[in-house]
Amino acid sequence: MFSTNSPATSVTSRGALDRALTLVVEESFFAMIDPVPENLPAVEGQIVSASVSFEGSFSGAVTCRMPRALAHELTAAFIGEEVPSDGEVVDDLAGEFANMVCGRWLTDVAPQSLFRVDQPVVVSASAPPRPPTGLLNGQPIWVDLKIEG
Amino acid sequence: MKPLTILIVDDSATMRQFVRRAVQLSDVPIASVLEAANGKEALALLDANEIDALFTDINMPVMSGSELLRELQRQGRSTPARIVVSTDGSQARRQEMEGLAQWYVNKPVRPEVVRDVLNELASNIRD
Amino acid sequence: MSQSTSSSALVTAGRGERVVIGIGEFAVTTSPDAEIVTHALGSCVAVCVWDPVTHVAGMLHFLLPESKLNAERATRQPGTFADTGIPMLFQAAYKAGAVKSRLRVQLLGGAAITGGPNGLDVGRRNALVAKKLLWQNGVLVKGESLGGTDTRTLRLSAATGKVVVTRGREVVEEL
Repeated sequence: MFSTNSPATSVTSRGALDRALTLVVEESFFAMIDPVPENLPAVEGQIVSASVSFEGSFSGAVTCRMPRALAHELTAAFIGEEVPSDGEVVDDLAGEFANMVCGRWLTDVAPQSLFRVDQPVVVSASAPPRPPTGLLNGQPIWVDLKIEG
Repeated sequence: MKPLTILIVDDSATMRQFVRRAVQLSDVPIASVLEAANGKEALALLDANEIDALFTDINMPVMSGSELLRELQRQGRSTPARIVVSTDGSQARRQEMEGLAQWYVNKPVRPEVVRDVLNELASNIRD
Repeated sequence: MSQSTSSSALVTAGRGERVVIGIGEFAVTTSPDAEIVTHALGSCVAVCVWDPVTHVAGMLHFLLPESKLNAERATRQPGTFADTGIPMLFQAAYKAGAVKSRLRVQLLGGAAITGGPNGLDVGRRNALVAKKLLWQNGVLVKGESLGGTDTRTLRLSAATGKVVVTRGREVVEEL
């Protein structure tokens, strides 16, 4: 999940990524990240995975994975209106979610640097075989950071 | 005051929808809201319409927000008023945008911030 | 100056009247000289509304975010929860002559109170749910005083729409 050869401790610090996630979730989605309970039931249904790559004084990617049902709820919360559960708008929101988390995190850990941030890549995926980062609206969300070099 | 025409530029359709809704709920009278997914589409709309204010993202395909704003500066346009809405809150980006945009707003952005910017913009127009 | 309390009812207060509400209660006044007051706002959130033209003023003091947590209480006292109380407050304000597009909405409270029965996070949750409901219903917030660790006492003036926040005798904030 984290490279041990990263440029600075603060960059790989989980705390900064969690802070970015919390800020995005609260400010734009009116929700909170809750701790993961011990006996979390298996995730059912589709998972949507959104990755945002960045390049600058260091490079890597932030990936957010969540059940599609959660992405749908977040889309409605974000826009303030109900939206259809299938279709591009939910994928678009998943990408923008990852974009916001990545952007806030980069601003926090490297406020003096300019980065090129790529368009989100959104795909269907399976649930990662490890505990989620937290629960959002009672559903699991995984937020991971990969630093290259 | 005369109702405003707003252009929202962002490659994310949901972000455009969010800003559109915030604009329409603000205190300022709105004539219409146009949308573009990148800087190139925005320039075409700016050529064809009288636009009072532009909300633009930075990172977009085809033509970025930085490139769009530089092109508007190169063209010597005094309008529209320019508001950057970006995830990039770095010092470096803000410095880059100085002189290119009048407002710089960080994502995640609350709808109240969109309202406050439009109110300030409207009072600048009135003054 | 007479005082009265209200529990989820439209109050047509007399001139200069002060209405005091408690947890799970709301009041709406049509008297331009009236005040609506609530005390000891901790993790609860107060939603204050005011129409500058008609001077209709309203306040809800809710305890918890979602009524599904206690359906029985939601039926008995819907003002206890954000999702049942906020719509009620707005409907009462409209019925009293407030117009949605003119309404100034302020949110206060949502403090993190240690030792509270519902945990440290409930204040933050209350604030988030209130903002979410307002956004969903096309209402933007004019001002807010949220979070912190202190309780708040509020006074909403129907004359000015201002909310004065006090702690003891000290005015700590005016919105």
